[in-house]
Parts: sequence; C-alpha cells; structure tokens
Amino acid sequence: MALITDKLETAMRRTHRYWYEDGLAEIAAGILFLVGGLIVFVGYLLATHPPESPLAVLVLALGLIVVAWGGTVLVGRVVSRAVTAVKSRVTYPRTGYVAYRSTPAKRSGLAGRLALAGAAFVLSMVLSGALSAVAVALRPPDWVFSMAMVQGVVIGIVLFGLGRRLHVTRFQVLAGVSVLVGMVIALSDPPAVLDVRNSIIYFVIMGSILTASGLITLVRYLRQTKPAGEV
Amino acid sequence: MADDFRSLLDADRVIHEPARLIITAILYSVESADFLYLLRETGLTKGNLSSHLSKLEEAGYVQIEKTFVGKIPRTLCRLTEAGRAAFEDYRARLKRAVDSMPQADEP
Repeated sequence: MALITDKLETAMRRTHRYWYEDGLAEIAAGILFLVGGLIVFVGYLLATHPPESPLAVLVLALGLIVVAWGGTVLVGRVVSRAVTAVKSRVTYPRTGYVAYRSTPAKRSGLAGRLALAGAAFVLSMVLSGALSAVAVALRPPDWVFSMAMVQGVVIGIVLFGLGRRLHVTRFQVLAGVSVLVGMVIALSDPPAVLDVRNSIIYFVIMGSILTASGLITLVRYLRQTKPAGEV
Repeated sequence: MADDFRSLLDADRVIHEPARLIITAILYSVESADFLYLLRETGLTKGNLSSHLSKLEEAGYVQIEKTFVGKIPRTLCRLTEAGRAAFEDYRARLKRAVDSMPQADEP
C-alpha cells in the first residue's frame, strides 16, 4: 500500500517536472542572465565614465534604473512568450500539453507582481546589509563576500531547492556549478567587496552555462521523442 | 488501526481503480492536461485511457473538452471540484491506513 502512495507522489512530481523536461526554461533563464549582465555592464560604464554635470549623472542614473526595470520586465515577457510558442510547436505535439494551476502571484496581476518585486528588492537590500555587518564582524577574506561569490551562492541555493523539490538532478549539479563559478571568479581576481566587474562576469558565464545546459537537454529531448502523429 | 483500515472499504470505487487513481493524481496537480500527456504518463493504450476517462466523466469527476489548436484536435481533461474532493478524500484515507500500518518488525 505504501507503494501506491509512492506511485501517486511520483506521478504528481513528474507532472510538475514536465515544464523543465525540454530544457527551454533553462535556455530562457540563460538569456535573462545574459541580459542582466548587459544591464549591469551599462551601469558599470556609467559609474566609471560619468558625465561631468551632476544633473546629467542623476538623469542617466534614474534613466538606467527605469530602463533596467522596464527592460527586465519586457525581456521577461518576450522570453516567456517565446518559450510558450516553441513549446506549442515542439513539446506539446510530442509529449502532450499541460496547463499549470495559477499561483497566488500570477492571479494578483501586475500590481501584485510589482509588490512582490518591491518586497524582493527590500529583502535583498536587508540581506546585503546583514552580510556586510557579518563581513565587518568576522573579517573574512575579501573574496568571500565579493558580489560574484554571493551571487553564486544565492543562485546556487535557488537552483538546489528547485532541483530537490522536483527531483531534477541537473539543477542540483547547476547549483554546484554556480557556487564554483562565483568562487573561481572571486578568487582569480580578488576584488573590493562591491566590485561590479566580477558580477558581470558571473552573469555572462552562468548565463552561457544555463543556455548550454538547456540546449543539451533540448537536443536529448528531441532525440528521445517524436511528434504523436509519427510511429 | 482497524478503523483506519476499514475506512478503505468505503473508499470511492471509481477512483480506487489503479489506472483511474493515477489519472486523477496527475489531473489534481494541474489545471488541465491533454489526452496525449495522459497517454504518455499512464502508459495505458488509447482505448483503455478513453474508457477510464469516460468512467470518470460519468461520475462527474473529470470534464473533457475537445478543442482545436489550429487544425490539430486536442482533447483537454480537467478535474472538477467534485473530482478534487473525491481524490483528496481517497488520498487521506489511504494515508491514514498506511500510517497506521506497523513496521515489519513490530507485532
């Protein structure tokens, strides 16, 4: 009888895992990472080559914040629609269509998502402040709290949690890769704690790795499946 | 422990059948799924799956909608509220019965 409950749980877990079976979600995440790196790079250029006029600096900084936020939302929507379109043409004819239940965040609409984004931003600032306080108190080597290292660990935790919840081994492997990439970047060029360059390098490397992982998964999926009309 | 086991005797026979149990478990996790996905996940034949879905539909547990995506037909299945409640009840009974079972080395 315990076997029946295990089979039920497995069937339900496989259904949640199905969204990631074709690798498209990883490709999308990789693209978003690369776009994120580009946005941070533009900010870095502005910071290192500021215009002379303080007003111009202020306008450009505000403009960058708006473009970064708007660009992220826009790219996110474009990528999301592209994933859905490719799934309609490639995945669903091969292995079937699934519509997932709406989460409370999705049901809340744009206002809800903005509130969620705001809460996430505040939380990240609080975490950064807490980390800085820890850094001052513990006096670890600078690389431990470099941005690349912190990003590597945070993204690693998210990937590991997702992989563990869905029982997707490659996400857990990518979690380890994320931490390793952050550590290698931090150690290879010991930076000041807020060195943005290493953050950009992390986004580019991790974005490329995620995209490559997604492409490999997609190729494997295409080889193992056929459109339902074919025998 | 005896009561927990006896409660299985009153379990919903429509859902109790293993193939239908897996079908409702899959549909419980999602908003809807199409026939092709259910076919692949359950490993049933087309005829077998159709038969089980019909039984679930007759019981009011599954709603079946035949649509088109472009020119390609798609049969969408979703669990009704009654179907969700029935699955939750069955799952709770099963869990109680399993939890009340002694370990292999216990009397």
